[in-house]
Amino acid sequence: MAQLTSDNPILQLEDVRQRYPNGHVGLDGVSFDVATSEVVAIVGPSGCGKSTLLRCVNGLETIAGGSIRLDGQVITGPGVRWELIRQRVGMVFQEYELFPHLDVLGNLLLGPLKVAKEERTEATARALGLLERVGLADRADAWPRQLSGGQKQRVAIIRCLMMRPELLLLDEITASLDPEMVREVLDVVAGLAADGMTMLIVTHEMSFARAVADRVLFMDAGRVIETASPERFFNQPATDRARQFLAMFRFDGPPQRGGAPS
Amino acid sequence: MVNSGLEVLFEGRNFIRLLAGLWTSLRIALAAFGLSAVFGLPFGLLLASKHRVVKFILRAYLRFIWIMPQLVLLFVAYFYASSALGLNLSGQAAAVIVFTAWGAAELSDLVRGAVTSVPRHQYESAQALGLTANQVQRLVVLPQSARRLLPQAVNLVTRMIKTTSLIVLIGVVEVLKVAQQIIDANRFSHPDAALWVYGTVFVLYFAACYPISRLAKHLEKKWPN
Ligand SMILES: Nc1ncnc2c1ncn2[C@@H]1O[C@H](COP(=O)(O)OP(=O)(O)O)[C@@H](O)[C@H]1O
Ligand SMILES: [Mg+2]
Repeated sequence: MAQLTSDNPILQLEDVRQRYPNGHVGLDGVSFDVATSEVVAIVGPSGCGKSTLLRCVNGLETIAGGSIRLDGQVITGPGVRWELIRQRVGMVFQEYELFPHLDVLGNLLLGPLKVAKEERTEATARALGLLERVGLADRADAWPRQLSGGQKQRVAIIRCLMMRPELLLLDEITASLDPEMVREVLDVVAGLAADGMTMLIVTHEMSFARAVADRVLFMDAGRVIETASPERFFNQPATDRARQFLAMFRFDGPPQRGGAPS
Repeated sequence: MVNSGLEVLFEGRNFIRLLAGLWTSLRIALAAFGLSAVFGLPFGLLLASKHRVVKFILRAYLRFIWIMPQLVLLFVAYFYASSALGLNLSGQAAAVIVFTAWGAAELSDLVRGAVTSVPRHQYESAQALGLTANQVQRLVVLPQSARRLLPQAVNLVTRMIKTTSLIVLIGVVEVLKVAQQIIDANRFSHPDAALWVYGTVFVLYFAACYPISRLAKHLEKKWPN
């Protein structure tokens, strides 16, 4: 398959391989570039390695081969200071992982104050501005347990933004939400895309991927097997595997064999 | 005489003696708890760590303490230590040693539970913000563990206070022993003193433990989950 290369790649993966300690191959040679301000949606069946891929990009998993570059700099060599890389690469997870011992503002300020050593008043002003932007201006003093799932995920997203990342990794951030809360979170992500934030988005929300992504990567069994524009991918997928995958999201009439996406 | 038993309480220094007995119990429990914290916290952190050998030894220790009735430990420390090892331990010293051994085991298990109950994604989202491993522990894991640990540790204090009633059996004159002495001394003049004296002991234990267990409840409420 022809690789789409970008003029101005912020992230470059080259033949990235990863293997879990139990021998399971998580990534089996993944290569692609991401351009500045590009939004890339990663889709594929459950267990195909989407989370593993994102986790490799911010060092939560160690790669066994290949290389990952951020702004041209290899970040997967020996002696990488991941805590420095991670300030530039934000990640939001599926679980509502706000820190329960800190209130909303405390969650937002932890990174800026302790990692970026920012000034409190300035960071607070920025935090309040971001809360306002995601419609949570009045929740700065709330505790995580007092928030709905959708509110927590919105806070988790702006907690990443507080670090002014160059790249945002979103791993199925709406997968644990009640359906009526999915939209409010996706709206925030769509807003970021419109502002030019570079993002790698793993999602099962196909219509969302179609709407915000500049490019879709389809993964199966630890490899990227199709790369296309959303238009192309959703209308005329090139591989059988992608066609089967997309068919699972359509419900046309009476029950047939095959199941819902997991 | 209608209130004969009640009179006994206020005869001479009896009530003061009961309070002094209670203080003996509390002092032993608190000293043992303090020492338990000194050992239990590092033991617990080690139990939550990856040090295989250390963990194996600590687990064996915990199992030993849990299998042994505290009374047996008290007898061993008090009688065995004095006769076989030639140490002349006072009953109080033996009690502090045994309750420390027990408390350290209990507390280390509570610490282990509190630390390991912090979910993996808490570590990961902290790391993802750029916190160093050290900062993740200090700013995210420890505060959350402490919130889980503190109510349980406070409850352990009340359990230790209650269990001090056993040390009467190795001759320590604590509140229960004082009560028995008062009752015995008045056996013929006030045959119904037992009810009143033990009733007072009941109230004293309650007065000592209730505020502590309220504190634990309060902490649990203040920091849910
Ligand atoms: N810690 C782990 N140890 C062993 N295997 C794992 C681990 N985490 C994930 N896997 C396996 O690796 C594969 C890819 O996982 P993942 O990247 O989470 O898939 P996805 O996010 O696409 O659903 C799956 O088969 C999964 O079972
Ligand atoms: Mg996943």
